[in-house]
Amino acid sequence: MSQGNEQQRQRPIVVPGEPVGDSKFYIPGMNTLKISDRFFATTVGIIRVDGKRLDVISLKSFYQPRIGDLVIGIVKEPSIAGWTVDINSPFLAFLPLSEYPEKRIRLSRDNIGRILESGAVITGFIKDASIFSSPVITLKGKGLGVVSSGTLLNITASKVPRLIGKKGSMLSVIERATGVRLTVGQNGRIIVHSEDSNIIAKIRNVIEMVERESHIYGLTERVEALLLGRKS
Amino acid sequence: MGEKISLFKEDGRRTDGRALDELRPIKIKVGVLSNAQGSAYIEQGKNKILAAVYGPKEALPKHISLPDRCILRCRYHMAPFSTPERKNPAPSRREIELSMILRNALESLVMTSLFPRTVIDIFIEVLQADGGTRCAGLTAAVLALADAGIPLKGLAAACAVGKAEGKVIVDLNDLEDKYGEADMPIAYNPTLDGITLLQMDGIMSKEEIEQALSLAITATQKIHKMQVDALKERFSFSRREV
Repeated sequence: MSQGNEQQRQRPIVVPGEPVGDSKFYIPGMNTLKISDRFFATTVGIIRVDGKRLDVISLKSFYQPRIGDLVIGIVKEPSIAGWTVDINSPFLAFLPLSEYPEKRIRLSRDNIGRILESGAVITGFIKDASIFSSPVITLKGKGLGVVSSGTLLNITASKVPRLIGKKGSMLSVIERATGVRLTVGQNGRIIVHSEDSNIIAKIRNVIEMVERESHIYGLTERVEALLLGRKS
Repeated sequence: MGEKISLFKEDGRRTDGRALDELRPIKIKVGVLSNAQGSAYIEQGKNKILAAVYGPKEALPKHISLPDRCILRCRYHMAPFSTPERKNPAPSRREIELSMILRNALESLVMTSLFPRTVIDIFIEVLQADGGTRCAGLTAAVLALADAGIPLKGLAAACAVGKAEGKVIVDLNDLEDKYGEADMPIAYNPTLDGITLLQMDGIMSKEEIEQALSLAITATQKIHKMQVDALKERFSFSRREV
């Protein structure tokens, strides 16, 4: 396919301040600003219409914590009764001692800085998130806890749904083609459960492709072709 | 001393050959720095300016954070090699004042309530100056904010208008800025149809100000179109990072 054709198949990109619809036909959704009857985009993105709701899916965004999200965090430092955790968001999260799976931690006896050291990678769920306080993480749950091996990669948080695909289709394509398991956090962090540099390079290429071309039709086919070494 | 500098040629054009309402050639590129979250570069005539954005991130020290919105920190700085004679790299009174003015202008564009308790850092680095650096810097900073993915109430563009030898002119260069009779930098957001920055230095009549305002809005609309094109180019499929 020529580059000209590929460009024609792009979903149109909107920029902040660009009119995207009006209230006669739509309800304003994510990343839109309503001024009188018209909606304007607030970020660079692509338009998605779901029924009457009109969203602008940002091409570059920050992770906004929501309750129930699986996130991959990096422990920053211990604090009075827990740890502060970097979750790739403007907000630092807090992991309280009570949400750590080990049963008995006594502050008087145990050095919590040794239980979870700074820089440790963890997978957890967002237990509480509000605009008034730091998001709270829990490590209590199946498959949650400290990650002992693997490789950490990043993607823009708004591209995570595209990387996972409809009902996990894209993720299963990647896992099938590479033979390794991936843990994808909603905050744009990915753990590749492998240390094979060839596989990691392959997955990194796929992530870069998703990041770059998520707004162009036929991404799953192109990812499949990239993984299998075919020409798309 | 006392030598009169003429700001117009015999044919009525300006010293650089422009018409009264003509902008200098503008080149804009978005996403030029890979280490910053958002960045933009602008060349407007001989002006060369880089803007970079970091954040939103946790506001430290914590006492500076606001519970209901994020704060903006802006640094406008002229590089020591940006002027014909070496400029002291320490922030001057003018730079401190311009940093504050640009922060106020940008604050009205950023949807600050979405990121309470955080801070956004904006750096505007003037690499080469030729008059109108605050306007070109603001135009670039807005693009750097959009490139960083920060939600904005539109893209504002800025341009200076002024008066030289009794004529209202657009996009003043260094010579016109120094020897002209008035200088009025304006930033305009076409989405909100609002002015986010307006300063004035010199004397103009009411009619001249009205004429200057109308010329400035037309000029900023042209710059706004270039901003939109540069931003779309940044995110389009054909662009490849080298």
